[in-house]
This record gives sequence, structure tokens and C-alpha cells, in this order.
Amino acid sequence: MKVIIVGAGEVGFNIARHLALENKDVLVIDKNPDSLRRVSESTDVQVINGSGSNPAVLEAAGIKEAEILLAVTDSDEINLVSCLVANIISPATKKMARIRDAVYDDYHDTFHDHAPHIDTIINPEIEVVKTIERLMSVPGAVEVDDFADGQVKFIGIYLDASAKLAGVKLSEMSSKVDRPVPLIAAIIRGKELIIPRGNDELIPGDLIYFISEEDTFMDALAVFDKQVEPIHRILIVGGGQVGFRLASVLEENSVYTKIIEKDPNRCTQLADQLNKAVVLCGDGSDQGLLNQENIKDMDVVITVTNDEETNIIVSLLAKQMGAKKTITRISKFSYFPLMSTIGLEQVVSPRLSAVNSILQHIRRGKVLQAKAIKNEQAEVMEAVALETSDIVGKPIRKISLPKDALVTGIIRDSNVIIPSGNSVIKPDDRIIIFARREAIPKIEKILAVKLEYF
Amino acid sequence: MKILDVLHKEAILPDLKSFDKKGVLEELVTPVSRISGVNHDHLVRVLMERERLGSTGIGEGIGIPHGKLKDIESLILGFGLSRKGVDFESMDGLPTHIFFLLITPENSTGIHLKLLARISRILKNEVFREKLLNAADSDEIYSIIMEEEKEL
Repeated sequence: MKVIIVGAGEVGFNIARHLALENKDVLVIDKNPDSLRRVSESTDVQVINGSGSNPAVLEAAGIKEAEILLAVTDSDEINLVSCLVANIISPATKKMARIRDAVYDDYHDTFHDHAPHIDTIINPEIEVVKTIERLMSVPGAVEVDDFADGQVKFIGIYLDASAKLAGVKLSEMSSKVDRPVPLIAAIIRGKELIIPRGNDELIPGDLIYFISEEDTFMDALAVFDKQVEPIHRILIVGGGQVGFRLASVLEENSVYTKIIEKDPNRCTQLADQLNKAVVLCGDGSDQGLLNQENIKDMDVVITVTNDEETNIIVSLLAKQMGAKKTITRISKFSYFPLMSTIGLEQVVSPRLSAVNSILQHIRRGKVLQAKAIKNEQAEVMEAVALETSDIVGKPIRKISLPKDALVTGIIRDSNVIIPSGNSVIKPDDRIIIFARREAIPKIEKILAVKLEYF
Repeated sequence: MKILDVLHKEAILPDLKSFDKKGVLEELVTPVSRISGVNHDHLVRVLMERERLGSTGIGEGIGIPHGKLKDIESLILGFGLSRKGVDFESMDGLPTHIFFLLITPENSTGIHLKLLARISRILKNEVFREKLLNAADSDEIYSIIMEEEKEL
């Protein structure tokens, strides 16, 4: 599969890196030789120096052979024009564009239905806002993904030392707690991803991923002794795209929201556009200001400036000054393991959001959603089980699933079934599969239809 | 239904140029789209979508890309030969050389499956495949298929 990526910035770079790991045929176009050097030095992809909106450059890159064009430069305009040109030269190529500016929000459908016929609009900022919302909806979670239209949640939590299940084997969990135990799909311990069996023990500090139905996730959290704390007061640090969109959502949900922004002009803009949220003009890393704004009474402090070091510092400061919870936006993936060590567990990254928005489109089979978990070592997929594929018509234990993969949910006629080895998947069921990255090609084969499928 | 009942000679491409899936589909679709009046790009997209669900590269150098379309009245067939072979994500991982392209009306009542079965059956014959691969032009391909269908 050939994929052309226009823009070698943070988003383009990370998608290229992820696709190259999967041995896709990736080519990256960028005007800036330095950005390209970073790509070619750390990944095995081809690069072309030039503008992705230039027809000659796109032709040279082989746009006609490309299955997917991803236009993810920092400029909405360049991304739009790249898609427009690609649409003229190679109309059957799937086009995805990163479009960030809210002025285009109402035009996304038009861009899809008419030229440039963009198949998917990627907006990492909106995705980050959604991620933050999901994190706030599940108390104590460090990762939350919704599947089957929200009927199923995939949740990651850290196990506390005081939890009843600390030190308990999986096979003995149900005797330790007085309610149904959710299906644990994976554990991240240090850097290692474990797909646990009955004999594996839960250890404090483990990042545990489990699957839960929407209406029972509170029970599931209680199994791990996660306390539910209502959220009334929120402080957002950083009034950029993410901060603004987040504040708009929160004020709509009647959460008391304050937002701190450094740039006075931007503050005026924010104050104009926001109704209930309080806009404070100042430096979010100023202890005096934080104190004055009663940071210790805040239920959540969310740091989303464009500078990740600032975000980390302000989150640490907020915690130390008594804020109950923090959510921190970072970009550099190398910071992820560090974050829990320094006590910042809830972290969001536009970069992971960007990777996740494209994964679904490169998967074989009728994949509706594919989400990489934080360290990108594994993925959760929601797919339609198709007639003639190897996944339907026999008990799950008889499907030759790779050992690093699990069918964690079946959705049939809007009922969620948590499967056992004897469950049989029927055509048109929606299934949720958890798989280590290495197992994904095999999963794609199992999902694939036979020749006679029309 | 015989293959030559639906395969126009103009829809036979004796020398495909592309090396990858999308490129080959673009080529195969060109004459078929001209004959049937179906939009070229729409057809390529339909075929690519079908390929996403599972490759029609069934191994032994054979690919039978196919799909359903709403607005056509009868089956459409195309044929193509790639001398150098195409990366068609085939099941045996080997390059694909012989292509039959099959487009069927959405409400088709099973004729398409019979035709698909017929195509797969004659392609099982190694001698037939060998002859096709060595054919010089569309006329020769046409008569090779005609000969083989007589045998059936």
C-alpha cells in the first residue's frame, strides 16, 4: 500500500514512522529540508523536497499509484490545495487532510461531497479535546476509548498500592471483590506489554487495560478501588485552539471554567467568543496567579499551551499547590514513560490522536475504528465480521487467532456480549479485538473475505 | 454464461504497465469504463474498497478484482496481462500476472458467482495460464480463451 504524506511536521513525521513500522510504502513531501532529514534519518521512508500543492511534485511522488494522500502540513490552505490538485490528477486516491481552523468547521461535509473530495478530515486538536472529555468522564482513567458508538469502553487505569486487587492473580480476582470483574486485555508494566493469563498477578503501578460496557464501567472502576470524584471546577492553562475548544465544551456542560492565556490579544478574542468561562490574562506558570485563582480548589487543571515543557511544569506546580487532578498535553513521545514517574498520569497527545485518526483507513477488513494504546505496542480494533471470513461461524477457540490477540467484545443487535472461547461470531456482528502490534497482519488476514465475496 | 459472452475484445489489455494494485486497477478499468459508460474513478474506488476487505489476488499469478455497481444493466468483464507481475497483495505473496476484472449489477441473481467460478476453474489449468502469459496481443488472448471455453 502506497501512502503519500504532505508535511513532515510532528503529525506527518509520526504517522510516517508508524506506517513505516508496518512496512507500508510511504513517501513524505516537505518544503523544509531539515524536517525531511529528521524523517529520513529515523525512518525507512522516501522523501521529496518540494511543495505538496505543486502538481509536478505530486506527479513525481507517484500520486496516481497512491492509495492514500495525507495532507498534514501546519497550513490548512496548503493541505486543501494539495488535496485539490491530487483530486484532479488522481481522483481515486483517498484523501485525508488536517484542517484545524474553526472557520472551516461548517464546511467539512462540503469538502467531502464536492471538490477536493476529502475522504477524512483530521483535526488533532479536536481529537485531543475529545480525549480530554473522555478522560474526565471516567474518573481515575489515564486512557479511555469508546467503541460501538460508546456502548463499550476500553479503559486504562493505574493500580494503586492500596487496591484490593494489588498482588492478586487474575484467576483469583473474582473471589476478592464482591462484583463482576471486567475482562483485562493487557497490562503495561514498566515498558513491557503483557497480555495476562490466569496465573499473572496484578502489581501496584501496573497500567491495566480493561473492557467494560458503558452502563457498568463505574462498577468496574470500583473493582480497582478507583474513587469517583465529581468535577465542578476546572482551570485551563493555554488559550490556543485546544484550550478554546475545550472551554467551549465545558461551559456548555455548565462546568465552572477558568482559562489562563498569556497573549492579551488572544485573551480579548477568547473573552468575546466564550460566554460563561472566565478568561484570565497572565502567565500560567506564575505561582502568585495560581494561588490567587484558588488553584487548590480546582478539581482538574488542564495544561494545553503549545509548549509542552510549560505544560509539564504548570501541571506539577498545580499538583503541588493542591489541585486534585491534572491533565497535561505533550507532544514528544519520549516523554510518555517519564510522565507517570513524575506523577503526571493523565497525559494527552495530539500526535497519538493523529496516528489514531489514520489507522482505521490503512487496516484491511471492514475496520470501523483502530486505536493504538499509549506506547503504540498494541491496538484495539472495531470491525465488522464479514461473511466468508475466517472469523465467523465457529467458536472463538477454533479460530486461529495469534496468541497476542483477544476478541474482547461482540456487538450483535446492539447487545454487547463479552465472549468466551465457545462464543460464535456471526456475519455482520461488530467485534472488538485487542492485539499486539506484531499480531495485526494476522488479524487482518482473519478478517479478510474470500474471493466469492462481492 | 460463457466468458466471451461478456468479454469485449477492446477490454483486453495485453501489456499492463503498472506495478501496484491501484495502478493496475486504473488501467483495467479504462476500456471497461469506456464500453459501459460507467465513471472511471467511481469504478476504481469500488474495486479498491473491495480489495480492502480482502485481496482478490488468489495466488499462482492470478487476480480477479470484482465489485458490485448500482447503475449497470449487465455484467462487465475485463482482462489484463502483466508481463513483469504486479504486487497485488496476493495470498501466496507472489506477483500477479493474469487479471480478470468482473463488475456485476447490484441486484444480480447469482450469475456473477457462476461466472466467477467459471473463471477460477479455467485458470486452474496450468497449460492455459502458460498460453495466456505467452500471448502476443488481444487477438491471441481472445482465441486462447475461446479454445479453452470449447473444452469446458
